[in-house]
Amino acid sequence: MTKRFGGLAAVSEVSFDLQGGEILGLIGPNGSGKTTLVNLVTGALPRTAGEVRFRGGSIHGRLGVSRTFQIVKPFRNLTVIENVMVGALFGSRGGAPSLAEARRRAEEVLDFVSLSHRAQTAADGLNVPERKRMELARALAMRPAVLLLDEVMAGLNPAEIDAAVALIKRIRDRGTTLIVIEHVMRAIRDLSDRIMVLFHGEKLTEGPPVEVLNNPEVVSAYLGRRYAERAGA
Amino acid sequence: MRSGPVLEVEQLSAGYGEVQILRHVSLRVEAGEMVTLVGSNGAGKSTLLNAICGIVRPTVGRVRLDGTDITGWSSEAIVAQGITQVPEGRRLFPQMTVRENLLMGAYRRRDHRGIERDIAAMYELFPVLKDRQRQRAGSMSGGEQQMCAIGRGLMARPRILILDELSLGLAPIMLDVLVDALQRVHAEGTTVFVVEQDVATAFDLATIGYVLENGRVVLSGPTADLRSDPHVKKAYLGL
Amino acid sequence: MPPTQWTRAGVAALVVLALSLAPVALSPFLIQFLINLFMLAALAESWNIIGGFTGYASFGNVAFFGIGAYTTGVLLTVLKWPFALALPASGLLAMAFAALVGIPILRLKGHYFAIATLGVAETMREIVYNLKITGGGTGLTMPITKSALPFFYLMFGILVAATAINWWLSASRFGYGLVAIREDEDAAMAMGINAALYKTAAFALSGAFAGLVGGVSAYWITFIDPDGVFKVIITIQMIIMAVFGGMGTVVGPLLGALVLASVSELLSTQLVSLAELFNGLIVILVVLFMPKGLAEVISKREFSLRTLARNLREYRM
Repeated sequence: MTKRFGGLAAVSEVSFDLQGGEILGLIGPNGSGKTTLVNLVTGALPRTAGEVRFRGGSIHGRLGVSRTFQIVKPFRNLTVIENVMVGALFGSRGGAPSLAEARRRAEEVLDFVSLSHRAQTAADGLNVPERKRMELARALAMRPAVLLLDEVMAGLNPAEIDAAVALIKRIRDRGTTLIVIEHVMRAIRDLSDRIMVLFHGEKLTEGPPVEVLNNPEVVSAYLGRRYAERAGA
Repeated sequence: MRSGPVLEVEQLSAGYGEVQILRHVSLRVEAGEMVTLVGSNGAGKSTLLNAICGIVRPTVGRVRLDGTDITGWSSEAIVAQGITQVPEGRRLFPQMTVRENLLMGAYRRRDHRGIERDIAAMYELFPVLKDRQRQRAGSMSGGEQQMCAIGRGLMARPRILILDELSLGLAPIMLDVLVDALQRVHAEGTTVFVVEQDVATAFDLATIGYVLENGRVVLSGPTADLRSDPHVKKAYLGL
Repeated sequence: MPPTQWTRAGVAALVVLALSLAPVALSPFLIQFLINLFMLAALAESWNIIGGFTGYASFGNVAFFGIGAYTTGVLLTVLKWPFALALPASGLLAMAFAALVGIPILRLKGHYFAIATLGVAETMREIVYNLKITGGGTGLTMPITKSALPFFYLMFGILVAATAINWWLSASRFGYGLVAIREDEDAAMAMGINAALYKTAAFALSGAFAGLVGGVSAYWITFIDPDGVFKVIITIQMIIMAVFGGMGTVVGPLLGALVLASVSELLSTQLVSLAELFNGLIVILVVLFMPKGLAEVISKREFSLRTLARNLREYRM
């Protein structure tokens, strides 16, 4: 996958595979091309070069991929359940045929993420962790084959992070494949089957967490000395 | 020589409408210190900053800056007195260049030569800003924006610099760079108040810490001690 | 349908029935007033589709009203078509124009979109002014009709249809898509909503109803000219009514039209220019005190001094 903006390559010949039911962690400094790569995969951004193959067949444009956003984008004036219903109605692999069916799916997803008690609340009345769970629910309601989580852990304390990790694992257990972009190392470590590291738009390395997070190149490019000190301690 | 704290918050209670968020919060930041306030989402950190900076009026309690009671003052007046905040999410002027953002930090100053000297100092502190000085601030990465925001805050030569959620969304290595830079800033005499939910980073920066939970200060003291407090370790450091 | 839906449908049916029978009992003056009210309410409901539901505040919907009026005018006077054919043609032409203009213009957002739509309306007036077939500056005169009754039922029918469409939007997949676009267009597109298509369809629907209203108005008033029919104040009125009543709701525009048309009627007996001042005051009132409109205030029963004060304070902040 390659994407150039004028003369600048935001993403440069990045290749990777994603196995069904896998959780791939995607890390790298800000500006390394993580979000751009994700936008290329979902088709939101047209690519300069490269190909996406889904289940063996070549794909142009929309796959069964849904995503959350780095800066949460709730539909503010709608209630929580209405937000999730939009996801249910417009899922790319056949959205719900009727409003009633969409509501049913939304209720089920809200129950899964433990947000049922806030179903009738207006979206802008939620606190930060709740808003993130709602975004997650909305993306899940689209019944994606691949779910992309973009920095969902930002701002959560350790207990909230552990709960979010458990929830994401349950999502994987239900059959969804995940790509997780994160800066919160605690989460990435616990979640990922494999980690891919981007640096200046290129793939630096990929592999199991234990290898990647101890790789000296990764430490100097991304993890930094305080992380290494803490990890060593 | 100044005596007494630069910032003092005394028995502050505040909230929004009928909802009470802060209860009897007291803290102080002495001149030249780097102090941190940590707490989870919803603990009341933003409300406390809003109360200090004049956006929310406390129901009970006082805020003092270098001895002057600034409780209930308007934000403009409080900024004029010498509190500068580096807001959560940076809030740079995205269409302005890096240099213009830094100049905006010096908005209230009239000493042109002093301003130019300070800009040069910012470039020395954050070399990447010098490289990008004519670049639009909105097109930089999160870490670079944070540097620009801190620079903008310092340009005001404040009596106290407040950092709100500096670590949000930043790569670990970027935090290393910022921690080093802030330690330099502190070493050069600036009083800094760090409001943070990344407790590890906050304790790397500050010598004195306050822990806010449900609107109350539940722990305070040297960060060296707080680091080994069992409750802090479990709830905030995840150890 | 759940019980509240039944009662709402019941009430709506009763109101429709009562109004259909009204002409029997009402004075000619009241019938005139009601025709005017239906016209304004239908325009407000039509604006609500693009402005309220989709969140694209068009400042040029009078263009569609005018196109509808002139289509009817030209078809009736020049081509001698029967009104029964001219009216649907007006709606269709206005709709097609809205769709065509919408394709480029809906790429603009916010203020730019508003200005561009305003430009479209102004341009239409100039075009009509300079064409011979539309009578240029002299205008067109329709054949006179004897009774006001057909106009009463026509305008009422259009209002019911426009309101029905709004109701459908509030409970359909298409409507949810529009609201998603309003709330966050990027997120909506990321969820697979074809924003360009949906926006254009909403704009076209909005134009269609405005065009139908224009067609009926032209025949009713019997004389149309560019300045009279492409007046910016008509757009302003439909926006104010929709916003005052509650944009994005189904009954909001109706409420807004009812209240504002009635008050304006009372005031206009005093002084014509007072009506214009009134419009301005309403805008200020709504922005300061009831930004979500009358419908929200009523449904939340939130009209107390304390909420007024809170809104003022928050506005200041």
